[in-house]
Amino acid sequence: MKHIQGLSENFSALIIEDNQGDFVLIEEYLLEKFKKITIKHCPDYATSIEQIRNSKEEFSVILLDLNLPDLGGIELINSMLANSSQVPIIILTGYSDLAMAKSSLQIGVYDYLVKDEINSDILYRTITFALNRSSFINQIEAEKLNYENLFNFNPQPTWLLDLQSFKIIHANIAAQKKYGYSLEDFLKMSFTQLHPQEEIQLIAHKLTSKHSEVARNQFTHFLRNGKEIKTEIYFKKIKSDSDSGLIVQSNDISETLKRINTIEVQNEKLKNIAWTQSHIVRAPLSRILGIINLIEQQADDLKEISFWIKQLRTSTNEMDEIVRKINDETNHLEEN
Amino acid sequence: MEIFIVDDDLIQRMIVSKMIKIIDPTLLTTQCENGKIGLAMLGQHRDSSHEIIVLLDLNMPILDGWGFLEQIEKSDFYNLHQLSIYIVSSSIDESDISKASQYGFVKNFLHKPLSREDLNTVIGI
Repeated sequence: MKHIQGLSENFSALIIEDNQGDFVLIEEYLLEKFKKITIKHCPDYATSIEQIRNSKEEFSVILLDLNLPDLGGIELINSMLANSSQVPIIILTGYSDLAMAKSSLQIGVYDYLVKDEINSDILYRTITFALNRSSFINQIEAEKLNYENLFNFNPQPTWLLDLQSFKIIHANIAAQKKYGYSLEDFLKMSFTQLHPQEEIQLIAHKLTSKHSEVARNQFTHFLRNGKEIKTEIYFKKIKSDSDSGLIVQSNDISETLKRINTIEVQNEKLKNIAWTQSHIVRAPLSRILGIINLIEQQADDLKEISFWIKQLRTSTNEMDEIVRKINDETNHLEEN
Repeated sequence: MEIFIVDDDLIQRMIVSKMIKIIDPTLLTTQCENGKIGLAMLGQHRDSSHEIIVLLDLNMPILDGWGFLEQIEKSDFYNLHQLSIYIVSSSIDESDISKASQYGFVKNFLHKPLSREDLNTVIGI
């Protein structure tokens, strides 16, 4: 956990205050409570903006008077918020601007202090709370960024969908690359649009079901260029900012299916080879064996034997040819 | 006794018929080069009580061994009282053997080449 900036570390405050008396008072309070502190003082809006832009390190906190000679009120607040990035802003106000100070809390101001009520304890407590909160917010922001990166850089095409309408709320880089749609295109689409007409009901049913209910997990997706891919769909319900959504991933299995198909075709060829082996090869082979049987039975008749030896030659040649053909077919197994 | 050799391979027919002659020169053999001719030749012996053995090859042009078996079953075996049918094939394919076993009237499934012992058993010596 990030250590909260405070007493022990270098602490810097920017005080934007046109009233010299008010400034001196606040400076005194701060010096009383914070041992290591750097204080910058700007008497008006223009110099404070310049100060923020030009200082190398961010301030730990900004104390902002609402009535400056060159700008004031809500305009001043908005401008300071826009320019101070993550630095907590605490507004210093009189009773007259209390309502505005209160409402500024909604747009990002951390806290406000009524000048007439400030003492060193109240100031210290307010600043410490603000730093505390800012530290937590920074931490959450960092984690949010981590999750965004996990989503964006996931190599699997991934979408965030509205739970009810399946409208695409976000699409990661892999999805944009794979499908050829820009994020802008995707944001105008519903996820079901990636599917052919006849699958729309099925995919909608799948996405609303609990995991195991719809067993089928082979869908068709169309890429932007019209190419068709076979895909497996994985999804999970998640809580996002305000309501819940669906994280959906697709896994292109076109190549896998193609390979399975190739293997099936090869199996068919192998079966044919086995059949050939059984029927065609054995025809001349059985003839050869039959002739040998016969020769054994009549070893004394030379004229007969010479006839059968000629037949042996013919059948042997035939077999040779068949074996060569089988060899050929086996070699061409990989071709489709 | 008459033995029908139904096979499109001339050399196979010659081998078998020679072997039979060596075993018993008095035995009559008829060579048929496909199932259709085999059926026609058998048909000439219709109603006979003569002992007839058919050595049937499976792979043949025009009418193969399976076709022969179907036809002869349909024709009530030409009312031949002593007809024995043997399949004689060079096939060692399981599917052929199991298909043959569906024809209950087929006496046996023999593999080529027929040995002298095979023929002795077929003839009944």
